[in-house]
Amino acid sequence: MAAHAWHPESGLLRLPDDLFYMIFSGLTLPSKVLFSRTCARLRHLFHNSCVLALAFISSSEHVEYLVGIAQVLPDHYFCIKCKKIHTINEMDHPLNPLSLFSCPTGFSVLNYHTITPKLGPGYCLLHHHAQLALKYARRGDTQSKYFRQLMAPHIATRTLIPPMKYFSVQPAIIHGKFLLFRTWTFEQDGVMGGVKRLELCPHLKVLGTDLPRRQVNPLYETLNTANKTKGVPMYKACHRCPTDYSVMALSNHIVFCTWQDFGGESTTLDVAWYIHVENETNDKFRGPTVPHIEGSLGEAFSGQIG
Amino acid sequence: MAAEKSSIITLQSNDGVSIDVDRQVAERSMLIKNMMEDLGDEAISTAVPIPNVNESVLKKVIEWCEHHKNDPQPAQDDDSDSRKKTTDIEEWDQKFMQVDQEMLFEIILASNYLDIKPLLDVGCKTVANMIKGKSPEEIRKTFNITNDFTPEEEEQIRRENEWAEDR
Repeated sequence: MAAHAWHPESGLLRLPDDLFYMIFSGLTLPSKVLFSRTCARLRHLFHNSCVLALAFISSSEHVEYLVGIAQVLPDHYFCIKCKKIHTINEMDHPLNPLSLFSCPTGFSVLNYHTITPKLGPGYCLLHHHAQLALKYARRGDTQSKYFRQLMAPHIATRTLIPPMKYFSVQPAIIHGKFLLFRTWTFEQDGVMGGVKRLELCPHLKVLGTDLPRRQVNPLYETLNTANKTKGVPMYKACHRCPTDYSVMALSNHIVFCTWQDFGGESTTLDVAWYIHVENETNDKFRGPTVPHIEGSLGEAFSGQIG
Repeated sequence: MAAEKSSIITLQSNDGVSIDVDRQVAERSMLIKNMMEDLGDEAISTAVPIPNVNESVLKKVIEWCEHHKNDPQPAQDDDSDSRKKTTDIEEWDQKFMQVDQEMLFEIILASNYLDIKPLLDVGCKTVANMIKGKSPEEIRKTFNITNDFTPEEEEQIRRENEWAEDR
C-alpha cells in the first residue's frame, strides 16, 4: 500500500468529509461512481457506498445507470442489443454500420430491424449513432472526425432500384434532438407516380401489395392530391410519430421529403426512438403515439439548415 | 421584540474588519442566532468575532443572508428532506454562486461554520452540478485534483469497468 498524499492545491479537497457526503448525496448514481474514481481519498470515502448501491438496483435501474455512464464517458456507448457499454469504433457509423449484426461482445441480433428504423438505401442509423452524436454535440466535440462521420449526409443514386432515381439523408441536431431530413425522387409512371415501395415511417408507407387498402392510407391520399396539383408541395404529418412529410408531383418526377425527430439523449430507452422502429408492437395498425406539432419539424430544420 | 430583531450587530472577520449587519440578517446563521440568545443584549454592544471567515467571504455570506432574510428558517432535523434529492438551484442563488472556485469553497466552509444550512445546501448543489456529466479525468481537471491512485488501485478500477470489457 503506497501512502497517498492529500492535495492542498485542490479547493475541493480542502473540504471536510461531512461536506463531501452532502455533495455526494446530490449526485446521480453514475456520477457518484465516476466521482469516486477521481482520486484515492474520494475512492476511500465513497467506493463502498457505490458498490452497495449497485448491488441493490433493479435490472431496469442498472440499464439506466449504464446509459448514464455512457452519456458521460466520451469514448463509450450503451448498446441496446446486449444492454452493456462498449468503447466506440470510429469505423462504425450510419454509412458503415459495423455493429449492425453483432456488437463488440459478440452478441448477435439477426432480427436487427426490430430495433433499428428503416431509413433508406445505404443509410442505417443505429441507436448509439444518434446517442453518440447527441453526446458530442452537448459536449461541444463537434470538430472531431467521428462526429462528422456520424452526422455525414448521404446521397444514393446508382444503387437504387428503378423507378427510384435519387435518395438523400441529412441529419441535424437541433435543440438537443436528433433530426433527419430525407428525400426520395421517383420517376413518374402512371397514377401512383411509379412509387411501388416507400416507407416514410412505420405508419406511412406505400407497398406494392397494399393497393386494395390505398383508400385508407393517408399517404396515397396525399399522393393523389399532389398529382392533381403538380408543382405544389403537399405538406402533411404522421399522426402517430414525429414525422412531417411533403409530396410534390412534377411532370416527370415525384418527390417525397420527411423531417423526423428521433429524440434527445435518453436516460432510458424511450419511445422517441422506438416509435420510428417497426416491429410487432409498433406498426401502422397498433402501437404508441408520440404527438408533435404538425409542420414544426420542417420549420426547425429549415431554420437550422437555412 | 420586533425592535430587538431589527437592531444592528457588528461581526468581525478574521482579518480584523468589522461589518455592521441587521440582526435579522445575521441570524440566518444558527451559530450567531444561538449566540445572541445565549448572550442577550450584551452581545449587541460588542463585535462578534467570526474567526474562520475573512472579510470578502463574510461580505458575500451577508449578501446571501440579506437576500434570504425573510425565508423561513429550516428545521433543525432537516438533513434528510427532499432538498437533497434535487440539484435545482433558484436563479438568484445560481448567479450568486457564479464565483471562482476559491470563493465557492470558502462560502461552503463559512456556511458550514456559521451553520447556515440553506446556503451550505446551495453551495453543495453547485459543486454537485459541476461534477455531474463529467468523467473522472474531467472532474480532476475541473477541480485540479491529482490522480494519486497506485498501480494496484488503477488495476482494480480497470477491473471494475466491466462496461469496457467488450472484446
